[in-house]
Amino acid sequence: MNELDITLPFSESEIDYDNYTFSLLCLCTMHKIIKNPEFIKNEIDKIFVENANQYSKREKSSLPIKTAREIYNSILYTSDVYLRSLNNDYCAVQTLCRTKFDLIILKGQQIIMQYFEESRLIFKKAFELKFNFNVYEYQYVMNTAFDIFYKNYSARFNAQDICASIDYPLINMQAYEVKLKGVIFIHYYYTAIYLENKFLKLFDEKKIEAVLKAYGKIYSSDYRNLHINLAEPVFLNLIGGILSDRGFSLDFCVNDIKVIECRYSYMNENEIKQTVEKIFCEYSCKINDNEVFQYIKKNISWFASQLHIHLNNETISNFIPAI
Amino acid sequence: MNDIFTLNFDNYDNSLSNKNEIIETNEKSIEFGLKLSEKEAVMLIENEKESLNNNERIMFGKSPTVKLIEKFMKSSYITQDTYSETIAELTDVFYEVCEESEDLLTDEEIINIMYYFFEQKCGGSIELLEGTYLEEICRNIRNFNSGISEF
Repeated sequence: MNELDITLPFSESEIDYDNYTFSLLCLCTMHKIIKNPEFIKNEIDKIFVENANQYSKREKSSLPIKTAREIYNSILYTSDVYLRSLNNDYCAVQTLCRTKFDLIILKGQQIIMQYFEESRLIFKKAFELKFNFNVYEYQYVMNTAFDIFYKNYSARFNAQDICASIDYPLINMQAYEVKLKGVIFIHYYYTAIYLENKFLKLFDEKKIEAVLKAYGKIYSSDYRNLHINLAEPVFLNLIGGILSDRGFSLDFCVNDIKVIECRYSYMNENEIKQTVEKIFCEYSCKINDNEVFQYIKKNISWFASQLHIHLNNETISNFIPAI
Repeated sequence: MNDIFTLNFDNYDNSLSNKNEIIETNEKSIEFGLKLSEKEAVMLIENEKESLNNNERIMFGKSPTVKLIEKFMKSSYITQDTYSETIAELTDVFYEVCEESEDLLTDEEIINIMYYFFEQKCGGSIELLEGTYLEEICRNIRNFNSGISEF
């Protein structure tokens, strides 16, 4: 039915990875890799009609368009999950062309169920490390959001939805900036929360609170009223401290700002990044958990670029919360 | 981008089979002195499409118009003169009730409720059915669903 050359006739930049299946189907049709798109569309439609019937318990023959779209998008998302798991556009195209669509959906559903179950275990571990700081979004994410997701998530009818409102940001990333959907988002997000909680557990709670208070002062507000990530100020204070010879502690204070200015003002962004990364790596044994270490380390680049900007503007005190 | 792979409502359009199904109901309705012509069947299909469109719905199974015909052919208030028009109006009411009742009722439940009120309370008046009884039923269903009242 379909033919495929060894290389794809379209580039990666043409693929919409957020709507992977849809994008590949369109590109493959356009480039005549799929010669009978109606056949695949017909397979998708059959699955849609069956899912719509299941949704209505076979007792209704019509649905609101909004619900129909969710069911249809759920099918495409399930396919996305499987095709993205192949980690290769060529393999994904090959699979789309040569595998029956209901088999792709079946494999997608298996992965979704696996992620669903793993997410529960990840959340459980994150919850065990939970803090009681009165930051509304954090407490909501720990006490409510996951339960809502777990109770209401539908892998069949609305797999791309998380069924809950998650606003609590991660270190250097708003929740809405995480370009993932459905259970894959939940899996990624709660893994990050787990690693952040684990990171925070390396420090004394009173010290953490002191850093949060100092962070609030930067914005002339109580930290509890800010839309903040708990681990971010701690990360900033920690790195600030490491760079000013305070060691692996949350002791970075106002006097240390001068030390940083003296040492790093003459460096360009790349030099700062390399230096900070090198010094941070020396403390890997203090973190003693490679997952947490790698998670924190990936924010060093952002830290370095921000530090460079604030050094130029002489506004370090607005960047690193000093106790 | 090629839009063949988007959700296309026409793909679930079973106009031809629906038309045949409507015509097939004549075999039974003839016992009640009612019959639909091919032209009327086409009108009912078009009417249903419009009603779906007006209520932002998509049909994927057996046409509710056919289900309505099968139920209402027994009505004592429907005559051959008004048959197709009444079924068209009932189809419009049906889809409004689907929306207004937040899809909590099955097709069969809606049709049974409509039939009961049409026969027992409204004397065959669709205006009365739509404006009074069904409106109240839908309100009760919504309130019940949102925990405001008991049904």
